[in-house]
Amino acid sequence: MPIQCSTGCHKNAVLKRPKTGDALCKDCFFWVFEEEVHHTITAAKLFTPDDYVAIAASGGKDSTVLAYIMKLLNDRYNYGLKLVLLSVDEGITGYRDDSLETVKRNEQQYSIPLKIVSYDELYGWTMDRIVEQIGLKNNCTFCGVFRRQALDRGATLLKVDKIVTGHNADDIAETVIMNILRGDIARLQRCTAIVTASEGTIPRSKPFKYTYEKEIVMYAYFKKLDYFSTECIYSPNAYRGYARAFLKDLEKIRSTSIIDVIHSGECFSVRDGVKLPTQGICEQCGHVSSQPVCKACVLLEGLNKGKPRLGLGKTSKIREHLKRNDENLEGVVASDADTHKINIPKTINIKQLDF
Amino acid sequence: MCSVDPDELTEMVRATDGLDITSGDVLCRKCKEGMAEAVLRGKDPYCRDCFLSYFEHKFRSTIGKSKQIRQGDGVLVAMSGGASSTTLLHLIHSGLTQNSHKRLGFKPAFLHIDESCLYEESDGSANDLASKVCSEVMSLGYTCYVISIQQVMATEITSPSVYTEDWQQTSQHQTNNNNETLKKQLRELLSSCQSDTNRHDLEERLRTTLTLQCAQMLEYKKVFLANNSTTIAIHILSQVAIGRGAHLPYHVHFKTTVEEVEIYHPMREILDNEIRYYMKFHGVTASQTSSRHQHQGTSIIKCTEDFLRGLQAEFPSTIPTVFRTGDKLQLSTNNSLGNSRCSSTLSVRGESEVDHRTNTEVNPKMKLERESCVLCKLPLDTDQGAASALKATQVSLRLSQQVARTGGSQQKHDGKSVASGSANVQVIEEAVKNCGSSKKEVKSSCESGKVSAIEDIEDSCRCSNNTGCCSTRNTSHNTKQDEPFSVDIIEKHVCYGCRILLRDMKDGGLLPSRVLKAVGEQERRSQMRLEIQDFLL
Repeated sequence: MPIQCSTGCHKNAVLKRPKTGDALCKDCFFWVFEEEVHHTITAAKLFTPDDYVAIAASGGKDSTVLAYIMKLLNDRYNYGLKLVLLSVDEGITGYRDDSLETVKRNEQQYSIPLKIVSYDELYGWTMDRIVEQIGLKNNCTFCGVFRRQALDRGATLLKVDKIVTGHNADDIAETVIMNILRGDIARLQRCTAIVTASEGTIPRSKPFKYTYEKEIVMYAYFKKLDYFSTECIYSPNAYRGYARAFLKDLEKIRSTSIIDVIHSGECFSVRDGVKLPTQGICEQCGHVSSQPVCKACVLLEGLNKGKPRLGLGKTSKIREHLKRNDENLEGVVASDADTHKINIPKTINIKQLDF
Repeated sequence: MCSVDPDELTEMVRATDGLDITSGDVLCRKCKEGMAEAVLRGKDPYCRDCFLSYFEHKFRSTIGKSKQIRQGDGVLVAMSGGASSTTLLHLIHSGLTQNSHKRLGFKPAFLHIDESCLYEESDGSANDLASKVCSEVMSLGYTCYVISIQQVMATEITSPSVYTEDWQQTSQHQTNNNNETLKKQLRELLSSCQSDTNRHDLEERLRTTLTLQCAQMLEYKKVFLANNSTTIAIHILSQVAIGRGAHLPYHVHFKTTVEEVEIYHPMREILDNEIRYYMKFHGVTASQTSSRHQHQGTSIIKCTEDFLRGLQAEFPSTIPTVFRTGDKLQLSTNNSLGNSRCSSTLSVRGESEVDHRTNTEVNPKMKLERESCVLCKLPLDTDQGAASALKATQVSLRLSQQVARTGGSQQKHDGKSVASGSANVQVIEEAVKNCGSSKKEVKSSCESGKVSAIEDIEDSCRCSNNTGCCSTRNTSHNTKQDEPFSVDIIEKHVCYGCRILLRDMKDGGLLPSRVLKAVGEQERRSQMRLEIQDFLL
């Protein structure tokens, strides 16, 4: 005997919602899923009419569903948004070129214009070449630091008002746990905010903040959405993996754990007198940074100088190097600094943020 | 998208091979004379004397630097008989008996909660634990109070009795027929929890509640809990996992105040492997060696413990880091919340809104004081605004149980469907709107069996299934003492974590009668506030 849809629509249920345990039919699931994202968007007041919004699109499931649903809700509820897909090409052969094909198809399917910014254009390095230099151990540090800025730079080029990313509830819960484990109190407080923004930066928001990863997959599956699902070929054994495994275990015991963790995260407040890193502006590129020179500039500096491990070591070593660099600047080695400045135009002034 | 954290910059250091001191030729890193007998942080060897002075110093400085414990202060020490509390007893005793200027100045008394009724079926040894723990305390010359865990169910607060060999008989004489009933009630309450996680969680709430009540009865303003750094770290992560992150400071900080009782964690800077060395060197054994407090089955608490201990083995800084993270948090005040969370006062009152429109209509004066959860006594954390995890879950539940969709587009989904399914949702919505808008304190009192699904709508306006709003009497049903509260009413007065407990339980009526009494009081107060809110400045 098939189970009936719990909404009382008299259709047979096809799935059990991980979030609530209710059995739903396909149509009701679609409806519920969309309404929930709509609720998040309206309750958190993510947009105002006439906003120009960039959807960070990687070709993966989260961003594909995000693009689809942003388009759908924009039409259904007349948000009055102008949408654009924004992709970053890290230059990873066999991973990114495939997933970019998906994004290009999405451009056609949802008729949202697409903008691709590449590491090669922005930094003069592709990830493949970085891996040649650094090996497979710390490459992800480069990729992550560069990507975050790349998205901001692309958004600035497009002159958008807002960026939306496909981070889902699982990602956020995972980040809460990870920041507890490694004692990153500043990010612990930031990471549950649905909108991250500060003065002079393009606000980023996460409409899927309360949406379970599993439900996103279900939605894509039943809607037969086209997405790319391969792990990055350089995918590492990151510390985050522990947090993820733990969260999966929790979820097995209690499926609402993900939301419970987010609730816990939302309730945190840092005690008075605890020092938080102050965010200033990078001396070299003008991006917001907690250090005098931002991480991207340091990493790039290392790559360009043939000392790729520079940004991975101690802060004191970096300072030492940069100091020496300043002295040299007046002399012969100025050419390096020149290329560097071309790579990172001073005009762009965006904060690096996110988790 | 690549999910690698872009800020994987704070690298956790992996464990190197632990230092081996079994050969007997490793010297203490401190005095460089004694032979090492303890290894801390996986690599630092200490001789017995240096370790013990390090250990005692850590304990004394935790108390000393707080400047909270003064000469002559009465302190009630919670004593489970486990390794941590046995060590605490030992530390306090040696601190008090020292004749130098270093002598600790406070006056301790000990409290043991006898939990034999929870375990009676498995073995009869449980009773022995209470006598073992208490006689150990008494033998050192301190007062030891003892109370049975089932007293938490009693209607009137019972004072714990001073331990004597026949304490059970005498205390049972006082509450003769009562004791068995209370036991039965407690077991019923615990077995109504459907998951191990919730049962363990509830046990812990009850234990804390009882400890607080005992302190109040015995007029102790200060309570010592023997939680050590390791257990606190595990607690931090598991509390986050069960949605109790808001209350972390209560479990981590050296001093917290709950219901005017000051709770201290004097062992908070000591790791459990250090405790093991201390006990070994002093020849102390814990009365409670079996893993009674350790949780069996598939509970989240157990899962967290396994995870953290596993990670600790790989990254030795894990537990200290988690502890320090928790230590940096404080109880969040509403105005310190992020600006993305618009304040909505209705969420305090449970799922009581009809739809989002009502959020804007609520008078902010309604929330004048910060309410405490009736179950765990800690501040409510359910007021997180319209864009919050709690609200998102409520929306999910509401949507996926009732999709009154006609035409598929912009339809407002108001209220909840009645579980029987026979009711016309629209009729109820109409009715609810009518009574909701006409007068807020109006209550219609006709109840039918299944109203629970809708009674959380707009100020508990009650409607029967088909007829909509009937007579609108002004009587509040809550004034009747003996009428049981529905889960939805109780839910308004408990915190996020306790709501999970409650929902799992189904029947809120099983809760301790004093908790239900508190529900009644808070419910009446919120009614009062509602009536006078227009005149409050």
